[in-house]
Amino acid sequence: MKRFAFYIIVAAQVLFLVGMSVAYYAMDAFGETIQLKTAPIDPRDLFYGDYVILNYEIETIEEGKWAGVVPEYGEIVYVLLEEGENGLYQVAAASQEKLDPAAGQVRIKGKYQWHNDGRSEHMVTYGINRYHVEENTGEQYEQRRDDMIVEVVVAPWGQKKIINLKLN
Amino acid sequence: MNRQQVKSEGKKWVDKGIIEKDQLEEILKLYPNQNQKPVLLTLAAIFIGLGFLSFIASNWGAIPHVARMVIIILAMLGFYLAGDHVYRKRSEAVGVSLLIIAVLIFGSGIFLTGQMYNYTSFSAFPFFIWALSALLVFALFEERTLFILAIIITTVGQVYSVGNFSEYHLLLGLLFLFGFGHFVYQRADWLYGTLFALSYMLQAIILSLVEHESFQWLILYLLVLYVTGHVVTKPGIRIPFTKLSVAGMFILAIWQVFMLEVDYFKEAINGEISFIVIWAVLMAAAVYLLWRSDNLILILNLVLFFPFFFLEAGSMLVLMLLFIYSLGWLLRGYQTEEANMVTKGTVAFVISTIVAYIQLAWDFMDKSLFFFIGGILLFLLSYFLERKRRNLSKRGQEI
Repeated sequence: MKRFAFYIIVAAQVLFLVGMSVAYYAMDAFGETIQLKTAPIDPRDLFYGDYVILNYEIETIEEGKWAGVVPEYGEIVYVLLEEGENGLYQVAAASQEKLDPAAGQVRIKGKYQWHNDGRSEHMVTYGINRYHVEENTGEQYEQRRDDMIVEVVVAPWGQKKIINLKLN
Repeated sequence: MNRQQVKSEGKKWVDKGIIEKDQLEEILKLYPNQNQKPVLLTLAAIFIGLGFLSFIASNWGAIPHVARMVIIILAMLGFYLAGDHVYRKRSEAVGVSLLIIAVLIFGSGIFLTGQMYNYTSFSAFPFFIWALSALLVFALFEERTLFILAIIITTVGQVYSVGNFSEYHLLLGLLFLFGFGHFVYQRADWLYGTLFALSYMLQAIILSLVEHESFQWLILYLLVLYVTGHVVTKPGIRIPFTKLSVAGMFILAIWQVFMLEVDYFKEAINGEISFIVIWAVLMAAAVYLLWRSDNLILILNLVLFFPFFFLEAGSMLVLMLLFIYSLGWLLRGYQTEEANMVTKGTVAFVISTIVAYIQLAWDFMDKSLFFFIGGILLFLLSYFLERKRRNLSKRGQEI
């Protein structure tokens, strides 16, 4: 019985790793690719060598686009994005409720950060602020981090990943 | 043939009635346990593992993604299967070290895969999966080293969650409470109890800071630990739980003496009725348990848990609690002539005196004078206390 349990536990761990890998490739097949514009980053954020820190324009949401109550720090929020004229995606609406996307819209999940009182804006994060690059190849991005186009794939099951960085 | 083989063969002979159990014991004595071998073998396994890891790491960028996955999974499988095999057939120590490497490979595998695929992360969920696997592996083999590994992973995961996401990870917390708690309770091993209590206290600090945003709740968490120690009477749990919670509370009391003067901490305190109710219930339970076990003198420990921070003169009152606690144990020690208790009271009394001195004299005294007088005070104090203690131990010897 114990032997059996041991094999089950080991197999489950293998499956978990394989699953992480499979989900990644499945996103290419089933997900939707969107292009996002980066925003200026905090100059105090260091450059780490093997990954680039990115901020996005869609992380700042005007008050007018928020529907419903304002969440607390760290709560899950849902944001609808739609394609602008230049092919870049912008925020259409945001809420704590799971909004239904209209045609051409994409829903992504984020976490509420804080409210910028001075500029009447909500700050949200999507967990895609780090892009790992090959070691020591990041310098080319360093100067241009605030002016890039990032290609992100959003899977129907909510996962997302960065697939490409393009200098603008 | 080695001892392990003789043992497993011998069991069959006993079962078939060829030899008696005592005879098997005699035969086994002819094959002494070779203890030095596992140490070398463990080192060898670790070296090979490290060499392998550093080789992969230095060429990691050049390896295609799928090949990386294959390497991680094969390495993990290899170490698990080899660990299990060696554990049963050859040597338990070597088997456990191989299993530890396998668990570590699984954890690094999760993070390497996440990094390779630029996975988004919102929480310490990967740590939950890792900690769960480590706990399950421990549950199968019941080796102390595996318990240490699993509880370290869980605790580090919780620290990681706070550092990166400013939140206490609930699933990890539940795993800790019910998963680890189960084994701590069932085995009642002092090592498990101590590690559990230490991890619990660290997590309580995290919870108080991040979720409650006020230190006052830490008092309740420590009180829960203390009461739990007295509810579960098994010594392997009671001793680490009660001793560590009181030691933690002693440190927290010193912290209060200084910090209650700071507005930032005073403002964070809130007079929630729930706090008072929970505190009163726990306190009543603690007193009842001490009374029932005829240990009412231990109420001296409970003194430290009083929530005086609500009051205006909180800092001074907590300082008084420290002195009541230390003098209480000191006097009790002399009364019962127990040297351990006297030592405990002495140490606590000296610390309390230093705290009081810093608190009262730091602001208005010239700094060189402060240290000078402080030094003389401590010198006199130690002379007096040491003389009393020696008298006591001399008397103890005469009896």
